[in-house]
Amino acid sequence: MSALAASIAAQAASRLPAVLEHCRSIVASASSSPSSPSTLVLEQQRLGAAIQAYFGCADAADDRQRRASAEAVLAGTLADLILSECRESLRAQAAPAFWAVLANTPQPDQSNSGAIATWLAKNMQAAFAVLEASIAAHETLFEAVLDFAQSIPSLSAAIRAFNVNTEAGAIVFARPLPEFAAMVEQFVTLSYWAHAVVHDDVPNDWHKRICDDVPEEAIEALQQAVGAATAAVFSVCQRRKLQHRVLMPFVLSQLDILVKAQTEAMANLFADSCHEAAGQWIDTYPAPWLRHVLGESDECDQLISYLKTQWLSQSLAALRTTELFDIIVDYPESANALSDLRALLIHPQQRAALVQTLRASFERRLLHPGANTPDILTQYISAIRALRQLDESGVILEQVCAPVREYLFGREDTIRCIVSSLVDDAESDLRDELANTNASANADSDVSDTEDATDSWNPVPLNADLTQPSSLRKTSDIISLLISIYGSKERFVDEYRALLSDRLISTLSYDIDKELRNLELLKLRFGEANMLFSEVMLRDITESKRNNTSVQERMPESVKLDFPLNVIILSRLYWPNFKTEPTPLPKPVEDFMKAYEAAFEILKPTRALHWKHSVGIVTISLDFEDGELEFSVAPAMASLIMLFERDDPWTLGELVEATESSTAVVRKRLAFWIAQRVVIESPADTFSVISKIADQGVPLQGIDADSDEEDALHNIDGEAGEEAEGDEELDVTQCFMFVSMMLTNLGSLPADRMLTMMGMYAPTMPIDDRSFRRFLSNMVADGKLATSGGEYQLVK
Amino acid sequence: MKVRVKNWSAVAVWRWKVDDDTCGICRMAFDGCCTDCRLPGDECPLVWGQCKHCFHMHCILKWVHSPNANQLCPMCRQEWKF
Ligand SMILES: [Zn+2]
Ligand SMILES: [Zn+2]
Ligand SMILES: [Zn+2]
Repeated sequence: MSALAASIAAQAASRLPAVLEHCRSIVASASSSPSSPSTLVLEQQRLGAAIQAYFGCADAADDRQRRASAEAVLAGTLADLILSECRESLRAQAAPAFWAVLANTPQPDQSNSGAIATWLAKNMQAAFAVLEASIAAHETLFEAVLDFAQSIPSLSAAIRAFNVNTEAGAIVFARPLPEFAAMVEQFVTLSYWAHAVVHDDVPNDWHKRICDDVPEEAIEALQQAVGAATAAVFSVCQRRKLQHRVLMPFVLSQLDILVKAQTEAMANLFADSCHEAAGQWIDTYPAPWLRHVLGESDECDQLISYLKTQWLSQSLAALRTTELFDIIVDYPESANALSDLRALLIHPQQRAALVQTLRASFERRLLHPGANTPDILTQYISAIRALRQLDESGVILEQVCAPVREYLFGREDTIRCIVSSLVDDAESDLRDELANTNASANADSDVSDTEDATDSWNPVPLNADLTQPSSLRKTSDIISLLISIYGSKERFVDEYRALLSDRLISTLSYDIDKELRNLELLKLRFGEANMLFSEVMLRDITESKRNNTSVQERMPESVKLDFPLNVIILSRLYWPNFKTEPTPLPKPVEDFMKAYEAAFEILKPTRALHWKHSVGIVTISLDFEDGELEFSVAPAMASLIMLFERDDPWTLGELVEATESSTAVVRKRLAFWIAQRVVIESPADTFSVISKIADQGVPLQGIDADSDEEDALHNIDGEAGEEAEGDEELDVTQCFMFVSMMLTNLGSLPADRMLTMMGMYAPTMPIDDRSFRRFLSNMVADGKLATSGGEYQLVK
Repeated sequence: MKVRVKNWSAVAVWRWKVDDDTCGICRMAFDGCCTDCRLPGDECPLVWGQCKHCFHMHCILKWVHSPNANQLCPMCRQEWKF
């Protein structure tokens, strides 16, 4: 045994320097770097010591254990020596050779992108060619070492795990040039360009960036040069398993850019189905490119599949989720975008995010005082339709729209808006809905009717909040859904009655054909019994027309007026209560009414008439020296202005006495005429009528009850000079649009609340307190706004 | 300034000339209508008996024709005469 061991050691001692020398020469021939013998000498000394130890114990022939361990030390030392020699050689030769190519070729003029591309392609190709050569040389070296090591089994085992590709990658790229990352990044970008330019699919403006200054005829050459270089570099990377170390981060960031660009390109394209197009795009462009860069492999296939099923689709889903509010606005034109989103919503957390995002959009864009109730309703109706397409269980709709419903419930004019869009002339979704869904009227009271045969059955998703009543999810038609905001039909019917009353009283025309048609539609939906009041109201109008004609014929000549006075006689229990205020009327009108009463009682002996003096409409013309102004106003307004015919000016106290009304009521009525710029208050509590229409041109200051009235009046002249300046800063039209929206929705508001709201909802409108108040005053002076008690309201 | 009225649309309500508010038979408001009617006024008129009691016409007709009413006014039990 000891003789064999001795011979192996001797063989090793004698052959190793020769083997290493041989290796060195191989490496040296592959690179220009000179060899360094110092390590070799050092390692030879270490090896010598190991050999001596081995032979030392070989003398004690019978001590097997010591000999075995000495042999292991020898093999280990040999392995260390060989591997460190290989590593040292890679470090000393392969790495510098590679980096030298990249570092020593000067980059051309920065501004010339075509030249930079060419330079980068050539440089990378050259560097990787050098790398490939030196790794190949080390491979040969290592094969020789392995060959030698076969004579010592324990040595062979120790060095077999050594992988030249792995070691080379680790050593060469351990300390890259600082600019290397940027170079590879651009190289990868270039490779996609060269790959995609063939197919005309170069995203963003890369094409421009890469070859803007390249003459048209040279582009093909550039593309080929880049193509050849990238093919060469990628094949070195694939052969030497360098994809992860060198390329992968940049391939991923490249894909990220492509996915983002592709997603961006699909923004707002709600009419087309983008989901499928996205899949086709991946198959056509990124997939072949990835195979080109990474080589055919399972990993590459997985990456492509991930790109399709997750990456791009999630990016598209996120885009559509943020766009959902607009998709709803565009519905049904956006039906394809909804189908996409429906297909892309895979994870429960996506649905949760969607609900959250959409709720936030609703709150930000719709549920604020600046939005019109009709607009909120329109969007809500659109949301009902759109979200049902997205999720027929109704869970998303319910979760998203709960705040919308709550908000609509809190708005005073919601019912009125719903009702008026049901019955208005203008084309409206709801009106169509009313006409179309009458067949299923009263479905909510009939359980068997709620099963719609055409609806496919779908189970309620697991994340549905089952604590919520499911009625919403089941209710099928939009009008029922809207009515359910209020819980009952009755409130709705009441509101219709109020609306109808307003319409009939404010037009006071006997022509009600349209209202009769509406009533028929509403009867079908709400049931005849519920619409009885409205039916009586309309009947009253028809009957009034007939009675009025008969009564007018019986009127004595003595009370005849020089204007028509027609009467509508109501069945009092069927109309909403009218707010009645004491309203003294002009004597001739009162006389006429008395005679009318008498004539009516001849016609209907067992019935009596009771006047509602404050209700009605009077059309008057105010004749001035220089022209006339016409108004249609409530009788009280007419009576008030008639007082000025007799006397002018009036004090507030005198007017209160003459009209038998309270100070507040008189002020309110005066505010109307002041807003119309017919009456002027000057000084305080003294009122007079303008004498010429031309006088209306004088800008009046709105009276803000919060501030001292004298002050407000005093300011008229003082601020006149600054007005022009202020108006320039303020977009008056826009500002008025906003103010009128707020006031339409909220009735009346003080100036500072309006200002706060504008700050919140129209932050782009630069406005300060002072110019806003001046704006309001001007609006009051223009008759667009009225002010009382420090609050502003719209003049209708 | 002169004010010229061009048109005046006035509003009034009608009431039956009766002291009570409700019909003694159906307990509905006189200015409404009886339980069988839908529309008030001419469609559901009032009648006065010789005893001066007043009812919806439909109510008293139904009443006097019912077997145990014996043609008596339900308020004063006198014979009902129009
Ligand atoms: Zn009755
Ligand atoms: Zn009746
Ligand atoms: Zn009687």
